[in-house]
Amino acid sequence: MASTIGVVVFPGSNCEHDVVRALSLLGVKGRLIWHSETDIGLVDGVVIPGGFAHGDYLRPGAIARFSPIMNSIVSTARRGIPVLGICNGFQVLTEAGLLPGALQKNSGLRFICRDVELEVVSNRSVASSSLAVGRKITLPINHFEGNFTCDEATLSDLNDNDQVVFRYVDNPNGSVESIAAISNVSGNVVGMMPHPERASEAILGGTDGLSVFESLLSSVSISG
Amino acid sequence: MKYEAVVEVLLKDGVSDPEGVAILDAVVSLGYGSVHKVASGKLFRLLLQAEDEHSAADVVTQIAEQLLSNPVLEDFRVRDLLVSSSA
Repeated sequence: MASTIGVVVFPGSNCEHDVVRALSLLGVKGRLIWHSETDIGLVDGVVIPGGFAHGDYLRPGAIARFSPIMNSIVSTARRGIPVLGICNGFQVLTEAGLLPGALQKNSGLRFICRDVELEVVSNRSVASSSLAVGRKITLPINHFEGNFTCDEATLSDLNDNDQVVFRYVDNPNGSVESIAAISNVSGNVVGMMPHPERASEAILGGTDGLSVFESLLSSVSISG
Repeated sequence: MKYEAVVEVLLKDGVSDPEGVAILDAVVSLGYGSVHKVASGKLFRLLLQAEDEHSAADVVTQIAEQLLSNPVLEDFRVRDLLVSSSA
Protein backbone atom coordinates (compact mmCIF):
# COMPACT_ATOMS: atom_id res chain seq x y z
CA MET A 1 0.00 0.00 0.00
CA ALA A 2 1.35 3.42 -0.94
CA SER A 3 2.25 5.55 2.03
CA THR A 4 1.55 9.22 2.50
CA ILE A 5 3.84 11.38 4.59
CA GLY A 6 2.53 14.70 5.90
CA VAL A 7 5.04 17.54 5.46
CA VAL A 8 4.17 20.46 7.72
CA VAL A 9 4.53 23.98 6.37
CA PHE A 10 4.80 26.97 8.71
CA PRO A 11 5.15 30.55 7.50
CA GLY A 12 8.93 30.64 6.93
CA SER A 13 9.48 26.92 6.31
CA ASN A 14 11.72 26.55 3.26
CA CYS A 15 12.68 22.89 2.84
CA GLU A 16 9.23 21.37 2.37
CA HIS A 17 9.50 20.88 -1.39
CA ASP A 18 12.97 19.34 -1.04
CA VAL A 19 11.52 16.81 1.42
CA VAL A 20 8.57 16.03 -0.88
CA ARG A 21 11.00 15.47 -3.75
CA ALA A 22 13.25 13.19 -1.69
CA LEU A 23 10.19 11.13 -0.68
CA SER A 24 9.04 10.95 -4.31
CA LEU A 25 12.40 9.44 -5.27
CA LEU A 26 11.41 6.54 -3.02
CA GLY A 27 7.96 6.33 -4.56
CA VAL A 28 6.16 7.98 -1.67
CA LYS A 29 3.77 10.91 -1.73
CA GLY A 30 4.48 13.82 0.56
CA ARG A 31 1.43 15.92 1.37
CA LEU A 32 2.02 19.53 2.35
CA ILE A 33 0.01 20.50 5.44
CA TRP A 34 -0.39 24.18 6.29
CA HIS A 35 0.26 24.99 9.94
CA SER A 36 -3.18 26.51 10.55
CA GLU A 37 -4.94 23.19 9.89
CA THR A 38 -6.09 21.50 13.08
CA ASP A 39 -6.03 17.88 11.90
CA ILE A 40 -3.04 16.22 10.28
CA GLY A 41 -5.42 13.77 8.58
CA LEU A 42 -4.66 10.24 7.45
CA VAL A 43 -0.91 10.10 7.10
CA ASP A 44 1.55 7.32 7.81
CA GLY A 45 4.24 9.64 9.06
CA VAL A 46 5.05 13.32 9.56
CA VAL A 47 8.08 15.39 8.59
CA ILE A 48 8.63 18.87 10.01
CA PRO A 49 11.05 20.40 7.51
CA GLY A 50 13.72 23.04 7.93
CA GLY A 51 13.41 26.78 7.57
CA PHE A 52 12.57 29.65 9.87
CA ALA A 53 9.06 28.94 11.15
CA HIS A 54 7.35 32.20 12.12
CA GLY A 55 10.62 33.98 11.34
CA ASP A 56 12.32 32.21 14.27
CA TYR A 57 11.06 35.14 16.34
CA LEU A 58 11.57 34.80 20.11
CA ARG A 59 13.47 31.48 19.70
CA PRO A 60 13.48 28.98 16.84
CA GLY A 61 10.35 26.87 17.20
CA ALA A 62 8.95 28.86 20.12
CA ILE A 63 5.99 30.27 18.19
CA ALA A 64 5.56 27.32 15.82
CA ARG A 65 4.87 25.22 18.86
CA PHE A 66 1.57 27.08 19.28
CA SER A 67 0.48 26.72 15.64
CA PRO A 68 -2.94 24.99 15.38
CA ILE A 69 -1.50 21.85 13.70
CA MET A 70 0.78 21.11 16.66
CA ASN A 71 -1.88 19.51 18.88
CA SER A 72 -2.59 16.99 16.15
CA ILE A 73 1.13 16.30 15.68
CA VAL A 74 1.57 15.74 19.42
CA SER A 75 -1.32 13.25 19.53
CA THR A 76 -0.07 11.56 16.33
CA ALA A 77 3.38 11.17 17.88
CA ARG A 78 1.87 9.72 21.06
CA ARG A 79 0.06 7.09 18.94
CA GLY A 80 3.46 5.89 17.73
CA ILE A 81 3.30 7.33 14.21
CA PRO A 82 6.80 8.30 12.97
CA VAL A 83 7.59 12.03 13.28
CA LEU A 84 10.87 13.39 11.90
CA GLY A 85 11.96 16.99 12.55
CA ILE A 86 14.80 18.28 10.39
CA CYS A 87 16.83 21.32 11.49
CA ASN A 88 14.14 23.90 12.35
CA GLY A 89 11.80 20.91 12.71
CA PHE A 90 14.11 19.56 15.46
CA GLN A 91 13.90 22.95 17.19
CA VAL A 92 10.09 22.84 16.95
CA LEU A 93 9.99 19.33 18.47
CA THR A 94 12.10 20.38 21.48
CA GLU A 95 10.00 23.51 22.05
CA ALA A 96 6.85 21.37 21.84
CA GLY A 97 8.23 19.01 24.49
CA LEU A 98 8.20 15.98 22.16
CA LEU A 99 11.98 15.77 22.48
CA PRO A 100 14.16 16.77 25.45
CA GLY A 101 16.86 19.46 25.46
CA ALA A 102 17.18 22.59 23.37
CA LEU A 103 19.16 23.97 20.45
CA GLN A 104 21.34 26.89 21.43
CA LYS A 105 23.37 29.26 19.25
CA ASN A 106 26.45 27.61 17.69
CA SER A 107 29.42 27.87 20.02
CA GLY A 108 31.52 29.65 17.37
CA LEU A 109 28.70 32.16 16.68
CA ARG A 110 28.84 31.31 12.98
CA PHE A 111 26.10 30.22 10.67
CA ILE A 112 27.45 26.89 9.36
CA CYS A 113 26.58 25.57 5.92
CA ARG A 114 28.67 22.57 4.90
CA ASP A 115 28.79 18.80 4.70
CA VAL A 116 29.51 16.99 7.95
CA GLU A 117 30.30 13.39 8.71
CA LEU A 118 27.97 11.61 11.13
CA GLU A 119 28.27 8.35 13.00
CA VAL A 120 25.19 6.19 13.45
CA VAL A 121 24.88 5.65 17.21
CA SER A 122 21.51 3.89 17.34
CA ASN A 123 19.41 2.21 14.69
CA ARG A 124 16.45 1.79 16.96
CA SER A 125 14.87 5.04 15.72
CA VAL A 126 12.58 5.68 12.75
CA ALA A 127 15.31 7.77 11.09
CA SER A 128 18.09 5.22 11.33
CA SER A 129 16.56 1.73 11.22
CA SER A 130 18.09 1.02 7.77
CA LEU A 131 21.57 1.99 8.92
CA ALA A 132 24.18 -0.12 10.70
CA VAL A 133 25.41 1.20 14.05
CA GLY A 134 28.89 2.65 13.60
CA ARG A 135 28.37 3.46 9.92
CA LYS A 136 29.52 6.92 8.82
CA ILE A 137 27.30 9.02 6.57
CA THR A 138 27.77 12.52 5.16
CA LEU A 139 24.94 15.08 5.23
CA PRO A 140 24.89 18.87 4.98
CA ILE A 141 24.13 21.14 7.94
CA ASN A 142 22.80 24.65 7.53
CA HIS A 143 22.12 26.36 10.85
CA PHE A 144 22.97 29.04 13.38
CA GLU A 145 21.21 27.42 16.33
CA GLY A 146 22.21 23.77 16.24
CA ASN A 147 24.19 23.53 19.45
CA PHE A 148 22.32 20.76 21.30
CA THR A 149 22.14 21.49 25.02
CA CYS A 150 20.58 19.64 27.94
CA ASP A 151 21.19 19.08 31.64
CA GLU A 152 23.25 16.19 33.01
CA ALA A 153 20.24 14.09 33.99
CA THR A 154 18.72 14.40 30.51
CA LEU A 155 22.07 13.49 28.93
CA SER A 156 22.28 10.34 31.09
CA ASP A 157 18.74 9.39 30.08
CA LEU A 158 19.53 9.93 26.40
CA ASN A 159 22.55 7.62 26.62
CA ASP A 160 20.93 5.04 28.90
CA ASN A 161 17.81 4.77 26.72
CA ASP A 162 19.70 4.59 23.42
CA GLN A 163 18.15 7.87 22.29
CA VAL A 164 21.23 9.36 20.62
CA VAL A 165 20.71 8.65 16.91
CA PHE A 166 23.66 10.41 15.20
CA ARG A 167 26.80 12.10 16.50
CA TYR A 168 29.04 14.48 14.59
CA VAL A 169 32.44 12.93 13.89
CA ASP A 170 33.97 16.42 14.18
CA ASN A 171 31.69 18.56 16.36
CA PRO A 172 30.94 21.72 14.32
CA ASN A 173 28.71 23.69 16.70
CA GLY A 174 29.48 22.84 20.33
CA SER A 175 26.68 20.31 20.83
CA VAL A 176 26.98 18.35 24.07
CA GLU A 177 28.71 15.01 23.33
CA SER A 178 28.65 15.92 19.61
CA ILE A 179 24.94 15.04 19.42
CA ALA A 180 23.45 15.68 15.97
CA ALA A 181 20.16 13.78 16.34
CA ILE A 182 18.07 12.27 19.13
CA SER A 183 14.86 10.29 19.44
CA ASN A 184 12.21 10.04 22.11
CA VAL A 185 12.27 6.96 24.35
CA SER A 186 10.15 4.85 22.01
CA GLY A 187 12.14 5.90 18.94
CA ASN A 188 9.22 7.11 16.80
CA VAL A 189 9.99 10.83 17.18
CA VAL A 190 13.38 11.97 15.88
CA GLY A 191 14.97 15.41 15.62
CA MET A 192 18.12 15.94 13.57
CA MET A 193 20.05 19.08 12.63
CA PRO A 194 21.56 17.72 9.36
CA HIS A 195 19.46 17.82 6.19
CA PRO A 196 18.94 14.35 4.63
CA GLU A 197 16.77 15.80 1.84
CA ARG A 198 19.75 17.83 0.61
CA ALA A 199 21.76 14.63 0.10
CA SER A 200 19.18 12.54 -1.70
CA GLU A 201 20.42 12.64 -5.31
CA ALA A 202 23.89 12.38 -6.83
CA ILE A 203 23.47 15.81 -8.44
CA LEU A 204 23.19 17.32 -4.93
CA GLY A 205 26.57 15.90 -3.99
CA GLY A 206 25.52 12.78 -2.15
CA THR A 207 22.80 10.22 -1.54
CA ASP A 208 23.37 9.27 2.11
CA GLY A 209 20.20 11.15 3.08
CA LEU A 210 18.06 8.62 1.26
CA SER A 211 18.85 6.04 3.93
CA VAL A 212 17.22 8.32 6.53
CA PHE A 213 14.00 8.47 4.48
CA GLU A 214 14.22 4.73 3.71
CA SER A 215 14.38 4.17 7.47
CA LEU A 216 11.35 6.39 7.99
CA LEU A 217 9.38 4.55 5.32
CA SER A 218 10.31 1.10 6.60
CA SER A 219 9.11 2.25 10.05
CA VAL A 220 5.85 3.37 8.43
CA SER A 221 5.24 -0.06 6.97
CA ILE A 222 5.97 -1.68 10.35
CA SER A 223 3.77 0.69 12.37
CA GLY A 224 1.04 0.56 9.69
CA MET B 1 -6.72 48.26 36.05
CA LYS B 2 -4.06 48.58 33.41
CA TYR B 3 -0.67 47.21 34.26
CA GLU B 4 2.72 47.34 32.68
CA ALA B 5 5.07 44.43 33.28
CA VAL B 6 8.69 44.04 32.30
CA VAL B 7 9.96 40.48 31.97
CA GLU B 8 13.66 39.77 31.80
CA VAL B 9 14.91 36.49 30.29
CA LEU B 10 18.54 35.45 30.80
CA LEU B 11 20.44 32.24 30.12
CA LYS B 12 20.78 29.97 33.14
CA ASP B 13 24.13 29.83 34.87
CA GLY B 14 26.24 27.18 33.20
CA VAL B 15 24.56 27.46 29.79
CA SER B 16 27.08 28.63 27.23
CA ASP B 17 26.45 32.18 26.03
CA PRO B 18 28.42 32.65 22.79
CA GLU B 19 26.68 35.98 22.14
CA GLY B 20 27.68 37.28 25.58
CA VAL B 21 31.27 36.17 24.98
CA ALA B 22 31.38 37.97 21.61
CA ILE B 23 30.02 41.15 23.21
CA LEU B 24 32.56 40.85 26.03
CA ASP B 25 35.35 40.68 23.42
CA ALA B 26 34.09 43.94 21.94
CA VAL B 27 33.78 45.57 25.37
CA VAL B 28 37.39 44.67 26.15
CA SER B 29 38.48 45.91 22.69
CA LEU B 30 36.84 49.23 23.52
CA GLY B 31 39.30 49.51 26.37
CA TYR B 32 37.09 48.42 29.28
CA GLY B 33 39.42 45.72 30.52
CA SER B 34 37.78 45.73 33.96
CA VAL B 35 34.70 43.95 32.54
CA HIS B 36 35.01 40.17 32.78
CA LYS B 37 31.53 38.95 31.96
CA VAL B 38 28.61 39.97 29.72
CA ALA B 39 25.34 38.03 29.77
CA SER B 40 23.03 38.49 26.82
CA GLY B 41 19.29 38.19 27.24
CA LYS B 42 15.88 39.50 26.29
CA LEU B 43 13.49 41.99 27.76
CA PHE B 44 9.74 42.11 27.16
CA ARG B 45 7.30 44.86 28.07
CA LEU B 46 3.68 43.75 28.38
CA LEU B 47 0.67 46.02 28.79
CA LEU B 48 -2.36 44.22 30.17
CA GLN B 49 -5.68 44.59 31.91
CA ALA B 50 -6.13 42.83 35.24
CA GLU B 51 -8.31 42.93 38.35
CA ASP B 52 -5.41 43.64 40.65
CA GLU B 53 -1.65 43.39 40.89
CA HIS B 54 -1.75 39.78 42.06
CA SER B 55 -3.72 38.52 39.06
CA ALA B 56 -1.60 40.63 36.70
CA ALA B 57 1.52 38.99 38.14
CA ASP B 58 -0.07 35.54 37.71
CA VAL B 59 -0.86 36.11 34.05
CA VAL B 60 2.57 37.56 33.26
CA THR B 61 4.30 34.68 35.02
CA GLN B 62 2.28 32.12 33.05
CA ILE B 63 3.16 33.82 29.76
CA ALA B 64 6.82 33.96 30.72
CA GLU B 65 6.81 30.26 31.63
CA GLN B 66 4.90 29.05 28.58
CA LEU B 67 6.28 31.25 25.84
CA LEU B 68 8.83 33.95 26.67
CA SER B 69 11.43 31.62 28.15
CA ASN B 70 12.66 28.10 27.43
CA PRO B 71 13.14 26.40 30.80
CA VAL B 72 15.96 24.22 29.44
CA LEU B 73 18.14 27.24 28.73
CA GLU B 74 16.71 30.30 30.41
CA ASP B 75 15.47 31.83 33.65
CA PHE B 76 12.99 34.67 33.74
CA ARG B 77 12.17 37.38 36.23
CA VAL B 78 9.16 39.68 36.29
CA ARG B 79 11.26 42.76 36.90
CA ASP B 80 8.65 45.48 37.23
CA LEU B 81 4.91 45.43 37.56
CA LEU B 82 3.39 48.87 37.66
CA VAL B 83 -0.01 50.45 37.25
CA SER B 84 0.13 51.77 33.71
CA SER B 85 -0.89 55.26 32.75
CA SER B 86 -0.54 54.59 29.00
CA ALA B 87 -3.69 54.01 26.98
